Amino acid sequence: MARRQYAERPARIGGMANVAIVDDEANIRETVAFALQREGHQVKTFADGSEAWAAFQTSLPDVAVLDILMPRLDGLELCRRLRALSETLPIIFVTSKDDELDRILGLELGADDYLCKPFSVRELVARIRVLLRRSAHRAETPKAAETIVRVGSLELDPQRLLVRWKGNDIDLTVTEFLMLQALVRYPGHVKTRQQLTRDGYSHDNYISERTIDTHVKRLRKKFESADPSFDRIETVYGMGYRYQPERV
Amino acid sequence: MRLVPSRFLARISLRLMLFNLLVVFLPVGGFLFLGRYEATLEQMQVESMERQAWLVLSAMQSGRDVAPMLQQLRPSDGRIRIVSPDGHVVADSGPLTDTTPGETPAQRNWLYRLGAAIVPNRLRRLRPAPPLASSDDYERSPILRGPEVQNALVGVSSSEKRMASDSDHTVTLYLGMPAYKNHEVSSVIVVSQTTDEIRAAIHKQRLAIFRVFLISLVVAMVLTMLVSTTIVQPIRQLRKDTHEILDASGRLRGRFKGSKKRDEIGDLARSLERLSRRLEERQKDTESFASDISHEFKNPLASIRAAVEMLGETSAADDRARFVRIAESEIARMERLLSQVRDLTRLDRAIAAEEKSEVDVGALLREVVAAFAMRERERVTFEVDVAEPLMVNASRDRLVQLFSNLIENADSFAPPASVVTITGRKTDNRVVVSVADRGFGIPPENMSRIFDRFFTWRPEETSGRHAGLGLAIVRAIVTAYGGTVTAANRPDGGAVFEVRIPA
Repeated sequence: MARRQYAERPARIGGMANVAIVDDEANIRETVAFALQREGHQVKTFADGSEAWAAFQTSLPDVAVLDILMPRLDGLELCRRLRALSETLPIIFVTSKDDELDRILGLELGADDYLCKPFSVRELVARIRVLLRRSAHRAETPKAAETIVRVGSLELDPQRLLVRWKGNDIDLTVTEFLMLQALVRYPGHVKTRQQLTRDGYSHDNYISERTIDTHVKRLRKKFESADPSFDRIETVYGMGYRYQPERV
Repeated sequence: MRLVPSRFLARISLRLMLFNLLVVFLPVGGFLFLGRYEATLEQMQVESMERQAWLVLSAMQSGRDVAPMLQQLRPSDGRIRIVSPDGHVVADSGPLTDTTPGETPAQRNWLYRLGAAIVPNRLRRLRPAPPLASSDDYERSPILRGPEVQNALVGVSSSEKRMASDSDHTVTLYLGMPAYKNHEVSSVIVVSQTTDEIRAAIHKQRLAIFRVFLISLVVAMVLTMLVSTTIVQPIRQLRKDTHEILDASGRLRGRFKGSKKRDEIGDLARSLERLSRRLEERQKDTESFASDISHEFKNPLASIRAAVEMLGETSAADDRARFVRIAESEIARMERLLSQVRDLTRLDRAIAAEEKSEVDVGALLREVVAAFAMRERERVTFEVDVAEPLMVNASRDRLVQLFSNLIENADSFAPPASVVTITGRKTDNRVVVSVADRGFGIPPENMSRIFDRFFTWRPEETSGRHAGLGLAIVRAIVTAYGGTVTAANRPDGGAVFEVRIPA
């Protein structure tokens, strides 16, 4: 089976990774490739989904950056096919339809993160770095227990981007993880949307507050699907959000 | 709250009911005409009494003894008396027999009793009758000196009414007629008859009118209800729909439901349904247009942002030049996009305002193609095949835009050293222009979308050179001129676009 062939593949050698960029915009491909190559990554660019898919048949990248609207084979379908090959391959979506973000998030495509055009290249590079770190640490067991943050029944592992609630793994995107981390750092304190933007997108200042709301909504949903009674993330009207630890 | 009564009266069904009921009350007016009817009947009775008197008179003048004749006559419905000039009764046919019972047949009808109970006495007073003298004495007395006798004594026939004091108030008519002997009034013939028959006739009429009234009342109510359900209910439904299809922010949330009724309200409902459907399409169009535009602008914006970010992070001159070039080309793309969007949004209004003239499409096609042929030189060959002058009433510049877009589209798909064929014909009062290339053709899954704005599909990547508005503009122009545009694949490869414009 194709899946077995790729699933246990070692992530990368040293700090360098193979990154695939699939976007029908030549200038985006060129600029993003330039930024990633400067970081020391190997970059392959593809103008549409079917071209990329043909190349993925022979070798999978370490990270895939996919545009959603592309001719012939769109990003959603390509993501689905990639997930069938590998469950752990980090996938980042970039989309120009941020009004469809809700819908795309609802599809449960198993992407590791989403960025809206016009995104910051620095932000994208930072995300790729985080995702590569997660793949590198995923196989290891946590060595130092102190790196794990515990708030009540919530456990956060910043090294491996892992979140557990009452012992259940919660599968979060990078953005969701960063926001939860920011909320949990000072439990009970209100975080404004601007603060969350700064924590979630440290390299990008142009994120709309609506995007933050969308991510928080998704965050709650993911916890609720593991524990329907989950209500720790509170909306503070006119201010922002806060994480309320359980009372003992 | 003060408005409630006037609003209540303003209701159409209530007004309809009032009108219908007013019509129903018309037969009631018939009661007023009963007075005339009664007078006529009385007149006729008097005339018949006169004829009786004449019979007696002629018998008297032939010299016969009238007393035994009167005894013999004994009219069942009247009494004849002969009075001497001093008022004494000299001959009598006998007293009036009270043949009629107290009530007329009509009065015994239950409907008549119901009507009598309902109709107020006031109505009866509309025809005030002069007080009548008593007939009781007059029937019994051997001496008659009433006005009709006095009139007859001076030679004038007249009649008089008197009323019995019994419970029936029977009215009796008296006719006095002079009989002459030697040019002097020798005696007076007095004929008397009860008016029971007239009364019975009047009562019968009253009953008939009351019946008509009751039937009309029922019919009016049923009619009102019917009209109310066929007119007022559908109107109410329309009003309800009007409230429901708009949400609090004034956005259309649905459509009028339309109607299968074939009347005017059905027409109105259908018109409203069409109107709301058009509005809904328009609203959807406007909303998707905004979203399409924001989407279309995000791609060049993303490139510009990425290029500018990298520009700030690199010092190598050739890299910097590269990012400046990227940013500039994307800015140019945004500008192109903006002007095309502006074209597209203004098209309808612009075409409506433009001056039209008779344009020969054939000559125009040759001109447009010549410009393309010059640009493309050896790469693509253009063939124009126009048989006759093809006159169309339109704006010349608009037609140039239309055909340029079509040929530009064909040119961009035409492989090197291929032929683009442009033909013009006239069929069925339409000018038909087709543009055929020998490129890849149109994938069947895209066929329905190629005229949509911002839709582009190109086998080779051309990096945002084509915004996907060219064919959208083509369609908008053709539609504004009342024509159609279709796309198809040629059997031997390539696409063919066909424009039909009314000649």
